[in-house]
Amino acid sequence: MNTLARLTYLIHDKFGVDIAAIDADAPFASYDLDSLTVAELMFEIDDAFHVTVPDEAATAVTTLRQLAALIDGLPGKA
Amino acid sequence: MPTAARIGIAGIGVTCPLGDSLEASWDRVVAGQGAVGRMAFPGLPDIAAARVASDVSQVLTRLQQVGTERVSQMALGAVRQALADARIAGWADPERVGLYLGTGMGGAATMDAGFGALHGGGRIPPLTVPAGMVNGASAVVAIHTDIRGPVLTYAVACASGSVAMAEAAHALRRGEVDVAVCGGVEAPLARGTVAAWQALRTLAPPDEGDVARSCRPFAADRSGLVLGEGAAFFVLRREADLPAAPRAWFAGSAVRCDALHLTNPQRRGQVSTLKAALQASGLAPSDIGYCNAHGTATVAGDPVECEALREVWGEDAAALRVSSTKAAHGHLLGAGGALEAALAVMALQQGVVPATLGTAVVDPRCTGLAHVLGEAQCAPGLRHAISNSFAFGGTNAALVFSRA
Repeated sequence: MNTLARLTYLIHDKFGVDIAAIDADAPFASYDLDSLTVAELMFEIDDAFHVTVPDEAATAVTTLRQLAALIDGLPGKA
Repeated sequence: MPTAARIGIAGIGVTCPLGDSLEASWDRVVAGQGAVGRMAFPGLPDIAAARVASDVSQVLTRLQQVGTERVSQMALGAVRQALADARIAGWADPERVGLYLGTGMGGAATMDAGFGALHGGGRIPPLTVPAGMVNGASAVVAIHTDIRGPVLTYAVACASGSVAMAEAAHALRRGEVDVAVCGGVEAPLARGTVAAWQALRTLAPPDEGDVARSCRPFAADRSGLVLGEGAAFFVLRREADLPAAPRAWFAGSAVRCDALHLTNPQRRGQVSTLKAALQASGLAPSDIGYCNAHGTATVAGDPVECEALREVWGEDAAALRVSSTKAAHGHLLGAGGALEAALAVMALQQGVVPATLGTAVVDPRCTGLAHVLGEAQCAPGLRHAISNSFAFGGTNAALVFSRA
C-alpha cells in the first residue's frame, strides 16, 4: 500500500471519515479535519510511519497528497 | 429585571453510575440498588468505585471526539437530556443563554495519561491541553449546543456543581440570561487520580462481604468515601419564561467558606451556609422535609455535618429526614451536588425520600436527626428539600428546592 493509501485509511480508521469523502488534493478542512485534528493526525503518523514530521512542515501542508510526499521524503520511513 | 422572580427547574439530565437518565437513576436508588463495585488499577490496591456503565463517547462522532474526553462527553450527554426534558430544541437568542458548569478536576484522565506517557519516556499527545483543561467540558457543551452567553466553569472541589447552580440562579435573577444551563460533571477514575486519593487516606476499602455496601454514610462502621463519576445538569428559567409547569422551584441557595482548614470540615461555616440558604429561600427549618446530606462517609466529615444540622434545626432536628445518596452512586466530587440536587427534586416530585443505603447502625455522633435507613420512605407532605455540598478548601454550598 502506498503512503497516500495508508494515510487515507489512517484518517478513516482514526476519525471515522468516509473514505469516499477524502479528496487527496482538497484542503483537510473540506472533509472536516480542523487544525486540532490535523495535529492529532501528525502524532499518529509519527507512530504509524516511524518518522518525525517536523512542526513547520506539518503546518505548511494543506492536502493529503502534499502530506504523503512530505512523509516519503523523510528519513526513517518504514 | 425581576430580581424577585421565581426560578423554575424546566429540565434535568443525568448520566451517572445509577443510570443514564434521572428517572432510571431514581428508580434504582429508591429500590435500594447501589452502583458501587470493585475497580482495579495496575500497581494499586483495588478500590470501591461507582462507574458509568454506558459508552459515553457515543454522544459525539469519532471526528467530534478529537480533543474531548470522558468528562466532556458525560457533560454533553447530560446537558442534551436536560434540554430535551425542558423541551428546548433551539434558542431564540443564543447570547441570552448561559452555561454554569462545575467540575473539580476537569480532564483529569487526559492529564493523567499525558503525564504518564511523558514520564514513561514517551510523547505527550498534542491535544492534552484542550482535552485536559478545566473548562474543556464547558467548551464542548457550548460548541455542540450553541450556548453563546456566559460559559463559565466553577472549580470548587466537591461543591463545584452546587456553586455553579447557585450562580446560575443568581444570573437569572439579575436578568443576565434568559436560560441557565447548570450542573456538574466529574470523571476522576484514572490511575493517577485514584492513587492521589488513596494517598490522602480518605477512600473506603472495598467491603469484602458486599462491595456494594462499601460506602456507609453516618454509620458507626463507616470507613471512608467511594469515588464516583458522572454528570447532572439542569435547565433553569424565570417563572414567566417557563413553557410548562416546572419539575420544582429553585427556592434559594447560599455559599460560605470555613476559611479554617484545607480539608477538615468545620461546623461554623456549615451552620452559616445552612442558615443563609434558608433565609434566601424565605423558609424556616421546620419547613424543610428532607435533607440530601453531603454525607461522604468519612470519619471526620459526617459528625460535623450532623452537628451543624442539629444546631440549625434545633428542636426540629429530630424530625428532619436525612439521607446521603452517595452510598448508592458514590462521591461524584464536582458533580456530586448537582446529582444530589436532582435526586432531591425527584423526592419532591414523587413524595418519597431515598434511604442511605448500606448504613445499619448510626454513629452516636450522627444521631438526633431522622435518618432514613433501609428502605425509601413515603413522604406525601414533602414541600421543601435542601441539598448540602461541603468542599475541600472549606467552601460550603446549600441549595433549597420547593415542590411545584
